[in-house]
Amino acid sequence: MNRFYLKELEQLRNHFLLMAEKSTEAVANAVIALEQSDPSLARQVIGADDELDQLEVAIDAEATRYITLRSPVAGDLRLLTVALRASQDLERIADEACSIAKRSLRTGEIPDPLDHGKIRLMADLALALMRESIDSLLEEDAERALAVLPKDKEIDRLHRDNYDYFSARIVDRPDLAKAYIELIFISKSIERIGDHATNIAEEIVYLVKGRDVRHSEEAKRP
Amino acid sequence: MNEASHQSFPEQPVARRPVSVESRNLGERANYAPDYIAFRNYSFYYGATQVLFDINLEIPERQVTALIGPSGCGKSTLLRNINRMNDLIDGIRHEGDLLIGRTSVYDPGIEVISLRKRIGMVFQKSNPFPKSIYENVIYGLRVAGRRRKSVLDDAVERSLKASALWDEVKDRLHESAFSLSGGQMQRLCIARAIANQPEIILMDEPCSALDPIATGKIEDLIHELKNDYTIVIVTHNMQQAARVSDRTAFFYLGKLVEYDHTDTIFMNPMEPQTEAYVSGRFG
Repeated sequence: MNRFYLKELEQLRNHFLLMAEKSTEAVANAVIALEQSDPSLARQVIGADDELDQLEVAIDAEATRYITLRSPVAGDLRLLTVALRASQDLERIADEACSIAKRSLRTGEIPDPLDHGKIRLMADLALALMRESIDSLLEEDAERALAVLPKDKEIDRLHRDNYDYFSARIVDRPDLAKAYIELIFISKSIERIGDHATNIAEEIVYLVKGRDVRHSEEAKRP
Repeated sequence: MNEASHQSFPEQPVARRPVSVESRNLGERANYAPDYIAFRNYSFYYGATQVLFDINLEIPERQVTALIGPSGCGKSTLLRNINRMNDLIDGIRHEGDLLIGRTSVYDPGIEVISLRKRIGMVFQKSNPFPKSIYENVIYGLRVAGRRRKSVLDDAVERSLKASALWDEVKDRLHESAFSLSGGQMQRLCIARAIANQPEIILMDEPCSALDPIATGKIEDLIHELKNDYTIVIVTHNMQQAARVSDRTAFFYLGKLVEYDHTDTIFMNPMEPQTEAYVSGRFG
């Protein structure tokens, strides 16, 4: 039996995937805007944030309505709780992308070339985690989602490297201190994006397996 | 529900929402009438006992409107007044008016029989006649004097398809209706109701005797039927009201407490009585 309202669940899932896609695109563009000192691209990322906020609101409304009116249970209910929680992570990822874009506008005004340290490496890893998390949702593959979790540690390590590196650059070039402080914040934003991608992966494990791995030894496993 | 439990509600519930709820999500339904069935200052009495109090309610065309409320709140009485079923009871009387398509059902020019032909009804317990599946569907048409086999065959196929029963019974149309399962019998009763091509279908607890699978089929059917019919359903099952209806009216002690879009009633009702009832804190 295919109940008439199941298409509402499919629509919610599609909204979540659209939000995931747009958040990923925002992160990728924000880092390119930084690297290429491209204010137009940075403003595009900043402008797109409203749309992502609206998607989060829509997902919240759709999920709340479905829970209230459709009496969902089991996998349907898990999908709804996952959509409610993970859309918050996506919204915060988009906020971090927006923050990177805003900071890139400031670093872009510096005439001297800036050394971005390991920001590209971090961004590639964070984007890979996001894509893996989203793909694991598409394929409903809990093992793939679980494999995302330990990779976040590498992003954390790169952020610590960046912090030390940019701190040393500030000592070397006090005239560029403000710009390197911006880069430390950008590095921190990417580190947070990794955390949110990991949260989403944990949610996907819950969605597929019905097992909550948040704060568990399983989630910390290398 | 006993009298003590009533006391947890504030006294004198009244509908503060507009009786006519603004339409939305109607898509291409350009000719939709928001006040297709309209109760105007409507009160109803069984002898000296007043069971409906000054009801003002507009039920839209080709949507599903659910009537909810505790036992004895008057929702079934209200439903049975739409096709004047209550006329069969001695000592009844009403005040105010009840209009269908802007015409009073109490207009002296209205024949009750022809009114009921425009309004199909499905009851709590499926009540097929002791006849074949085929004969059950066309019973109303036969009573109306229709004899041509091709017309009757068409009506059977159309009605059984519309009630999502055709595929299950098309090879045994002449078997007894009692050979069907409970859920099938209820869908047969819906087919019988729509064979006469009514405008309105009234449903009084149509799923209360059915298992969850059969209930799901009836609910899906209700969702399909609203494209062609105005449906008013009485249900004690609030999840069912939430699932199938576009509008919900909450009744308490014969009064309309609140009427609004179903998502508003279940997510953000205005009246504390409604909130208490839909959240199971009644009493």
